[in-house]
Amino acid sequence: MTHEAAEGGGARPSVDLDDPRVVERILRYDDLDPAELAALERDPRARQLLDQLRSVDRFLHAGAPDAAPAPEELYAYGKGPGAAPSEGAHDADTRRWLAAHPEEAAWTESLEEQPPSPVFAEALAPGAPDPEVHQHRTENAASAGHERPRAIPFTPRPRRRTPAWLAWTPLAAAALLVAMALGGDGERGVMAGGLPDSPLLRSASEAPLLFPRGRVVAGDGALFAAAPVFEIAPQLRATDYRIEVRQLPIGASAFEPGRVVWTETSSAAVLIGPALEPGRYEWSARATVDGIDVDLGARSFSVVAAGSAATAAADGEVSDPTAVRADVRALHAAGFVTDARHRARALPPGEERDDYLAPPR
Amino acid sequence: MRARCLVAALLLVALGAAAPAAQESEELDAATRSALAFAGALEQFRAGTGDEAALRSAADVFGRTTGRTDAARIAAYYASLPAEARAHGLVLEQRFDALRARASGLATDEAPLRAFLDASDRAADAVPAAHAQSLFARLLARAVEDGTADAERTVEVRARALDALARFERAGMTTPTLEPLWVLGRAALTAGDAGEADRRFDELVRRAGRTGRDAWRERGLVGAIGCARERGALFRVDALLAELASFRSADSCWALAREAAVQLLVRDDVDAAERWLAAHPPVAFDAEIDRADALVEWRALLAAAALRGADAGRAERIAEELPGPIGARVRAAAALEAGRAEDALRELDGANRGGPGSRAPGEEGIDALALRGRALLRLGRTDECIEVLERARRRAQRRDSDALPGPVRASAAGEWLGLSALEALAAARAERDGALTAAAVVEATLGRTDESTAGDALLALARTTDHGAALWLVGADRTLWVHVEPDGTATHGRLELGRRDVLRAARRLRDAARATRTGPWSASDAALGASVASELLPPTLVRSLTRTKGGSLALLTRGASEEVPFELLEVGGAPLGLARALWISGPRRAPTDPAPVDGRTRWTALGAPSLEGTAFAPLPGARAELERLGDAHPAQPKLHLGADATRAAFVEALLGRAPLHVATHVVDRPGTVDRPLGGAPGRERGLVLAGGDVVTAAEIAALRPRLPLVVLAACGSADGALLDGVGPRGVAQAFLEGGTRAAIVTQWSVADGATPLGMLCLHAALAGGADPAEATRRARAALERAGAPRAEWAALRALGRP
Repeated sequence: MTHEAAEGGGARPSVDLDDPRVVERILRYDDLDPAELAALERDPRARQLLDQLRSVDRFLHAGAPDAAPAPEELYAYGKGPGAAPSEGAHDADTRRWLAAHPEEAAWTESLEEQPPSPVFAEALAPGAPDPEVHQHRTENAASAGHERPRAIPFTPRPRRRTPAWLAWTPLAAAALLVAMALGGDGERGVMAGGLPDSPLLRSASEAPLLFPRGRVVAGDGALFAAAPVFEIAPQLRATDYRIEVRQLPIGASAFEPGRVVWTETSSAAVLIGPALEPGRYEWSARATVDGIDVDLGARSFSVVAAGSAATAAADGEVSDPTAVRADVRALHAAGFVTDARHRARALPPGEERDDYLAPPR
Repeated sequence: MRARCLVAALLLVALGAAAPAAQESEELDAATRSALAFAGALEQFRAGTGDEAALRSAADVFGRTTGRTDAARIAAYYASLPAEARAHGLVLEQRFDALRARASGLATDEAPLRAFLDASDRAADAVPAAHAQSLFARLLARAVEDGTADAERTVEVRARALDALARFERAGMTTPTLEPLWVLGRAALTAGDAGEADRRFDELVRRAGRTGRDAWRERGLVGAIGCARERGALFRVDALLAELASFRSADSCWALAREAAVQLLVRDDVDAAERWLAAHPPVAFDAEIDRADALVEWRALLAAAALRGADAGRAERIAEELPGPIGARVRAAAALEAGRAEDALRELDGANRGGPGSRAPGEEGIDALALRGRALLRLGRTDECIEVLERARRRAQRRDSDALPGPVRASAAGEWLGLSALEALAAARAERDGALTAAAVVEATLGRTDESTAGDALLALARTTDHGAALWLVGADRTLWVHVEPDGTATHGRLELGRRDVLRAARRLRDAARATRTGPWSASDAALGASVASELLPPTLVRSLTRTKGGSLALLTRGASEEVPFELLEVGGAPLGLARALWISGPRRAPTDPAPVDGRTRWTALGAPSLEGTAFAPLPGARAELERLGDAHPAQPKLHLGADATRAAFVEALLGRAPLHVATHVVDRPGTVDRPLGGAPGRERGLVLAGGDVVTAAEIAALRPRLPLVVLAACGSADGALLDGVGPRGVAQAFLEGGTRAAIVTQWSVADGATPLGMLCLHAALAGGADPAEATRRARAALERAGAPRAEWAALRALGRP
């Protein structure tokens, strides 16, 4: 759909997007009064830009960082290694949020495990565990009893409900942002009803480990996590590939090696693994090239309990191309790129499908 | 008739075509048929039964069939000899063949060879004497290596091999030169001339490849691998191993299996090394290279793998029957790993009580000294530990300075002393002389300077920051940290975190950040960052950061800590990268750094190259970014955009003194990297210029750019394979090692559309007088405020010093 067609071919630009003051108004669209916003929306280019800004906003809000407790609050709530004492008011919010987010709840439960090598000199004053936290942990069948962690002070960070668009960014930069937004981005395909593009990177290199990556929707049936496909970029003259998957001890030290849950060797660069329960994982791969063992690297991913919409999109029961495209777009936008890729395989063969399934650059 | 057969066989060897079992077989390939035809024609010509025209015709056919020119040269050589000389040569070669047969067991006395040389030395046909000199040199080289001949005779080995080489080359022959080349390489190694050895082995590999002589190619490659390992050129080892593996199987070539195992252990790939060794016992080896040591080598490597896998018991069991100093060192290391430092010292002392390969305590190798020092430290014998480890350090530094000149390939600490030994030395010095001295020892060793200079530089660095300078030295199993506060107060500590632990945590954080391009930064990601912060950051630093908002600090990341994205670590409720100006400072190398950039300087801006018809995507964001740089600066930058972003413009910028901003692709391309700058083994990393031209990191380093500041707005411009003691080998390091004062870089891929905003904010800050670290912080903050994911803002990093 062309821009003019979207506007019925009759809309004419009335807003000067070269004027930095106009640009700044658009960037601060959520502060505008309805009349001014409506005036801007009558201009097709300004409207397109506003749509894109809103799309980014939606993405940011959907991604949970604003809705979730601040990371340090979660960390303090879970009594992670070195966490500061949690505050009662924050704990109530945190507990409500955790009830709706089982993966993060599992994280905070196991944060209380003693770190292997505390390094901080100053210990917290001794005291009894917070009864509310203790009760919540009991409800979640977490383990009890732990040594007091040592302190790394955290100051709760003010939560941002809307992005503070370019609060002090130089106007030249703001104008550039507008130029870039109007110049096209990764959402063009989505707006035209197609599949999303990957962002253009300033590189032509990619690690050999392709998928899974990022977040993966937990569940069974046709979901990716039920029969995960491990994809490696084929290596020249490789005769076999060996994959090892480790589940990382949730909430424990970032330095822990994790537990090996699956290893497999295959002559193919694509291997299907066992079903993966929610948790944090790391997979590594090696290849035999000309008889020599070659390390191909490692990549992390998480299997998370997603909302019902994302789960339904990833489940892949519908094979109608339009519905599949919608599922792929939804999953991609929510950050479930591995599931989106898995779902895109249900599309009929063609350029669009091939482009989307091409190894990322 | 027998003589003729022998001559034909020798000629076949000279031409590099193996004598077939059935010479008349129709299955022979065209090359072998043409070689046989040439050999027959030459034999008849030398015996006086054939004519020159037939010989030249056969040489021509051979040349056209194989693309080789040596047959024509050989024909010309023999045609230039008188008929009697050709016939006399045949007789001499028959006699030499008998000598060669007697020497097949590699045990012969010298008298018959000397007698043969007396008889053949003045013969008009130089080839029989060349064969004799070559064999003589080979047998003598082996005797010198075995210790059954005086080391002084290495001079004679070299002279005989050079004489053989010259005679064969005079006769137009290539294949027979392989033997003297190999001997020359070995003689150079015996004489300690690694550069000469490397050149000889390299030439051997080249000629053996051209003539299809795989056995000699293997020997050349094994020699070249040894040379590359000796001078710390790990990437070259990888490339040579890959070449060896392309025509040899590790199942039937112990040298290949051994070197691949060593490479896995060097990279701390313990599980893979164990699997590899278990699957590749030394069942087939070249007797002249490997001899009876193969089994000892195999067991020692297995024990080393068990040790690195923290299975000291298994290592001890494997090492029980290992003979000589190697066995003693492995048992000492296992005892140390098991916490029995006294036993480790006893084993090391026992290894020095005579027997083959033993050394006096003062002459112990670097690895034995490092083991002894660590054992002494464990026992609290600090002064002795320092004395021993300082001796190891001095020896490693001497070896470092003996290495081939040129860009950094390895470091004394990383390759020969080992960061673990340096970490132990620094810990001992911290205990005895204080934390600042410990840090100075680390910096002096890695920066190739003296302790006093390194200490002064460290203090000066700490004073110019608000929160001081923090140093991490990550060894195999432990990490030493030192925090120097702005007032010069220094504290230190040791963490039970080794190289693998730190790399693992760093990789997880980097993965989490990169995943934000398509998903959120979750609470679990943040907890990961909090975990790294809580375990890695010195408590004095955390106190300072908690007490004072904002400000700057210098992070001296040594070893695996180079990979940690400190920008993501949260202290005081905000990521370090947003709240603090971070300098990631390498060891200070150049005392005459260019002056820092100031806000009035005119910049050079280059990038957004025209890429039509290439495999690379055009970069509209980079173009907009470069076109608008002038908005931030009082003086318009000198722009090289699109088709003008050429190699010539880039080189001119590198040779100039203006700060440089580059916005383009970083790519890896296949290549053999002797100088490990950029990319991975077998890959070269570089910047893409107009028309898809790639200027590599090694090419940049060779130009030694001494710029006040370079901004590399491209993907992973600071990323590269990590070399212990030297750091990641990315494009940025090519600038810094060339003499550039500071670099603003990316740690991983960045989006073309998001980067311009950060870069323009960066330049606005620089023009306003901010230093590169503060300007980078503002760029990160601008991107974060604009809603860019961590993948974009946390990638930005400032390297260098204020």
